[in-house]
Amino acid sequence: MMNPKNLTTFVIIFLSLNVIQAQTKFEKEYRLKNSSVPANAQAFIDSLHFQEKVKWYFEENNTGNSIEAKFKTHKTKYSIEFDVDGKLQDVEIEIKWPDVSKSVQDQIITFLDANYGFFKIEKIQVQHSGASDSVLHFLNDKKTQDITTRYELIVKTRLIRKVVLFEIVFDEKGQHLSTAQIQFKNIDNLEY
Amino acid sequence: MSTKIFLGLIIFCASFIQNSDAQNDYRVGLLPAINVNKPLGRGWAVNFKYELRQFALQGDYSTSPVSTFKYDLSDFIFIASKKVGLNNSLSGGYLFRLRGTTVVHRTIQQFTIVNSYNAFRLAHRISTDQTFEPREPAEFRLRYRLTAELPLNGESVDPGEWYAKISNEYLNSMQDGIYDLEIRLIPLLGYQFTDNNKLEFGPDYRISSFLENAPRSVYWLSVNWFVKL
Repeated sequence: MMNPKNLTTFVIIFLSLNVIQAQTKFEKEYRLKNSSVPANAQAFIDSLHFQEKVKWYFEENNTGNSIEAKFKTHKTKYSIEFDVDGKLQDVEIEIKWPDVSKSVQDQIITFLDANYGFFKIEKIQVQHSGASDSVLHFLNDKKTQDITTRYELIVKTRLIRKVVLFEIVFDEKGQHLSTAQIQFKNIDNLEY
Repeated sequence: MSTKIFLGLIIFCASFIQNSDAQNDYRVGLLPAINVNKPLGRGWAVNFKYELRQFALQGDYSTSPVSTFKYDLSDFIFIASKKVGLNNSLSGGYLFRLRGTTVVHRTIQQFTIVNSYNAFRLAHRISTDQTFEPREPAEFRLRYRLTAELPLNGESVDPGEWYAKISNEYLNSMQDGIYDLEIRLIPLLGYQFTDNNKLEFGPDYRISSFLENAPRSVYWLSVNWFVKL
């Protein structure tokens, strides 16, 4: 039988080759100091009527980088996304299913029924985008002028005998816009 | 999760370890492990783990430790798992242990639930195993392990980032009609090279035989390398 030391050396060399091959995907999110936040992004947050503790994040990925401000107010989670120059991209607010209007609910359920035999809505976010002033006006005064509203749902369903999660986006009337399967992060170090 | 909170947890764990058995035997050693996982599709995966035990010191708290640097054993573990839900998996496997010329066989069954929250992940693992060793009665164990993984930067662990992983496990054992309980406390620091490649290291404290006898403690320096093919 192979000596344990020789076996260890063999396994380390074999796995090192795998490491080199695996380093192609790139996605990273990390905390950002307030001093590193672009002035116009900071000014947008400062203009909000609710002043909560804001956590800033920088996100790097294959499609582009962005800056996110995350905070919670009145038990509601907000995520406000800017480009790296501090220009507003969108505002995401976590909501509950009853917060969605009945007509939009009906449209969404009709789509899900038609496409998935089994489904469960795990999470809903409403997205608002548009000119910075319009979105700010909406957040502070709840006036919905000149902004685009979308619903982003995280839906659990089955695909080829396997449970999967989809991110499904609908417009403000509940019309389907896009579907993307969510790739799970590796949990081997928690399972074994 | 800030680094300060993680360091606080380490100090808390260390104080628990020191106070738990001030007058009893202990051993100190290295516990390196390589864990390779290969998904097979349709929720199936196979896992191979190789773990080596190397003792370095032993003694009791009233005398100076004696250096006993020697190789103890090697474990080869093969597990097949099937996802049975979004966060749940059911696994079964076999452990082959080599200690000198003695060969130990263990069959393993386990159920794991991993829940993701906004800023951490929590895993519950319930497992049973049956150990068969020559000239020893069979040992049957029921285990529960709770593990928390906390990113040290941002809200999730991403490539190129550090994380903390803290495990607490309770192992109920029955051998020849005698019950024993082992408790493990394992605060580790991890680094994610890629989503499929992680390295973790830190203390692994185990205490057993404390219900009716003098407690037996083992302090391992654990180094775990996780690779997904």
